[in-house]
Amino acid sequence: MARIQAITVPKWGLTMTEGTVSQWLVEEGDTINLGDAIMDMETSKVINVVESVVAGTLRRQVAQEGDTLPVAALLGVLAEAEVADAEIDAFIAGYVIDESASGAPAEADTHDAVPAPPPPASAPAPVEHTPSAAATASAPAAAGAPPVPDALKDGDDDSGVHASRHARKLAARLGINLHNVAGSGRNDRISVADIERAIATAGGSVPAKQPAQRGPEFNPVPADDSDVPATSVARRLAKTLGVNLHQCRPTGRHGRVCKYDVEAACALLHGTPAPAAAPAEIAAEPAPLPESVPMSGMRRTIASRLQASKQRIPHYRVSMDIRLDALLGLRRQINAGDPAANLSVTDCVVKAVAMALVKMPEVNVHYDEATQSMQRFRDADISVAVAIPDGLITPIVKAANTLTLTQIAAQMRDLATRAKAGTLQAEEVQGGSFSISNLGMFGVRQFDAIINPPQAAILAVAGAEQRMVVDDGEPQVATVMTVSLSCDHRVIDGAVAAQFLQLLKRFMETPSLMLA
Amino acid sequence: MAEMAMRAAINLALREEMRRDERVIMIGTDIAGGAQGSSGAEDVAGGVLGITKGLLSEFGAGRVIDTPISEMGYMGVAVGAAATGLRPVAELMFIDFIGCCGDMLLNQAAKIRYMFGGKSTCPLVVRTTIGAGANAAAQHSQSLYHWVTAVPGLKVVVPSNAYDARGLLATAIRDDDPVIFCEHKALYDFPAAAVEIPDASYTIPFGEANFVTEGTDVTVVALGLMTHIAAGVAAALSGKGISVEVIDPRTTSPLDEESILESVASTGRLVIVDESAARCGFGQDVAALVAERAFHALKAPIKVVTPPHCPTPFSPPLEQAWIPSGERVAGAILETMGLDPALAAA
Repeated sequence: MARIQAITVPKWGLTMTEGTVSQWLVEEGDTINLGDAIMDMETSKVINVVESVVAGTLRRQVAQEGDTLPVAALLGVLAEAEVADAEIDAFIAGYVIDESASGAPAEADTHDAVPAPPPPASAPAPVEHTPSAAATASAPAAAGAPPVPDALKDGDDDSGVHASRHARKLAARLGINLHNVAGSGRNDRISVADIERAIATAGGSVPAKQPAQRGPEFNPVPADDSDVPATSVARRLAKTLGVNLHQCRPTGRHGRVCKYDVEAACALLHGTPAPAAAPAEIAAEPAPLPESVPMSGMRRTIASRLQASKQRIPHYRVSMDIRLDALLGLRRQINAGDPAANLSVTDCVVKAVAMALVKMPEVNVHYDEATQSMQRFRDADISVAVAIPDGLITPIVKAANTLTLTQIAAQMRDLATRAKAGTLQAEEVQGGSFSISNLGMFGVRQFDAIINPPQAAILAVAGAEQRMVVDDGEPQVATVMTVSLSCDHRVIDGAVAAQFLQLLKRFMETPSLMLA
Repeated sequence: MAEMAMRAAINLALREEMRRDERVIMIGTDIAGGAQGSSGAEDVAGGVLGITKGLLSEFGAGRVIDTPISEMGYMGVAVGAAATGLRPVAELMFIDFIGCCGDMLLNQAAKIRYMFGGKSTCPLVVRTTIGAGANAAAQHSQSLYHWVTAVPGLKVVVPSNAYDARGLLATAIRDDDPVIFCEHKALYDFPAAAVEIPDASYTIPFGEANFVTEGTDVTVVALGLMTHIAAGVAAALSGKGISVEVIDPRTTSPLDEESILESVASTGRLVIVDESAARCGFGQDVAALVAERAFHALKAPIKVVTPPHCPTPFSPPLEQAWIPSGERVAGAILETMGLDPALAAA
């Protein structure tokens, strides 16, 4: 039975109404498993990864990169190989956004005492559609049904095929015909592992076992948790503490509940940390359990992006000290002459970096690893990292090379204010050809930043401070700042980075050159 | 189809194989006569065990060779015959006396194929009896199949019912390697071991377990007589809502490890009921297998139910206490479920 499944725009938060497709992470024809990252989607605040809640083969990318779509709108279509293109076209043409999934509020329903439908879960329910043309005797496939490829299901009566008892049971449960599975056991017998291998080879995934159903007449403990995989220590501890293992979040290997999980559950359930098991004579203070903090969508995005960047990109850093006395003098002059300008050091750094980037476009590049291609930009679109309560965001000062210092200052103030308010538009945080991260206001002497791909470089700006410097053998006090450039060595070589810093230093130490 | 006791099924299998292949011969102590033949007439009793009755009459003394009590002697003859073209079925009346023919079996029969680089084989079957319960005292009650299982080159069969005994014996006789075929004395006339068997001859492959019952809570591995004890416990516990899967491996070498592991993966609990030994026995071998390969599937420690580590007592009440009882098996099952084993008595 052909089945077609929809991938839809998820609803990540109560206020989310639409999302913009920033990038497909899978191609048409790819096999998608539950939980696979399939797309980067951008909302008003952040770019997040869409994870699939259905499994199958991606047959059609309905949404194109750059499309902005309402919640529950169709992004793509999964279907088995034998589903005809025409059926998929019909499915797409007939697709209607499920209003309950989009969370359309049932407002002003005063004449009706029936309460509004419960708020939608943060992940949309898998939407399963069968095209009406082929709507005959649909298999009783529940949502999230085992994605066993149909190729394994066909065949003649397999009762004579040599299979182990549990392999036959599994095949019966999944509707697999054993003629389609090769046996690797003694006397060519088919094992459970053989079936799992066949499913994987055919592009499916092995569904999780249903927990055993126990009749009500026999219930060894009020809530039997013996089916929950757990380490022996965790099981014992749970028994001692009266914690049901079902209520523990498994973080151990093989998906098992481990000791820490039981302690965490105990603390959550009873509001008290698990009693320390330390011997009495040591009498150690029971260490307070760490607070469990959920990872926000933004945190997860930051975590995965920067981890990927740090792991994939051959970073190297070049640092340089820059004397700021002249620049600070210029800033004082401008701010004194035009109090509304309110120029910050960061604004000056943005300007200087933009000037340097235009002079050295080798650093003003994007690198696409997949296609081994490099894009070089004429204008300097500078992403400036702004700390916000949830994490950080990088609004972009576009074509900063064409802006005056006061224009940059005004833009920066606007962007930072709206970043903190969470009202930045998607296009204001997407793109950018180069990044600046400034921790100078915290008195940092020097730090290194992680590149924000597909960009190839990021400048880490530390604090300006008075240092002793030696000029022509004479010690004197100067205001000095250390900047560190992190570069992707695949596209920017060390000498280029060093020359860029030299150029930047020249613009900042002789700021009148920025006007030249 | 006809219901047949295990004793009769073994006799039938021997007869069928001797008819099928004239290289099949029988050799052993008293197999042509027997203690009950007070008249001295041949083929009255069919040996002390009554298994070979009628074979002498049908196949003659040339193929059914009666010997004195001389295990080393006739086993040597049997191994030599096997190595030179016959397919002997030797009867070792009690496995307890395997020590008397140990060199023939352990050092000769088991090694011939390997040490001659595969140029020679040893298609020998040693039929022997195991098991307590016959009030036969410590020298006639052991279940030493774990000894022979430990020797590479020997295949070991422990049937639990008439159907399996017939099919497995046919396989053993047609197998080119030496097979130790261990018949539990108590099963020869055991009602539950007497089952319907087909009219036509058939074989059962080695290394493939029989699922006596299917269940979801606890896996019980048991051989021979213990299979019936386990099945009885499984039936009793199903009334209490505990679903027990009883697996009879049928052969200890080769062992159907896969079926045991797959079953434990599905139940998460394992009880082994084994008459062989309290130490270094078959039960401990299976326990080690599961601990090594399926530890993460286990929800409770493995339980091994064996006799105590002492010789089988002669006193009938003590002997009955020595044999793993249904109560002990049920208690072990309940313990793996985290329940009070005392419930087994209820």
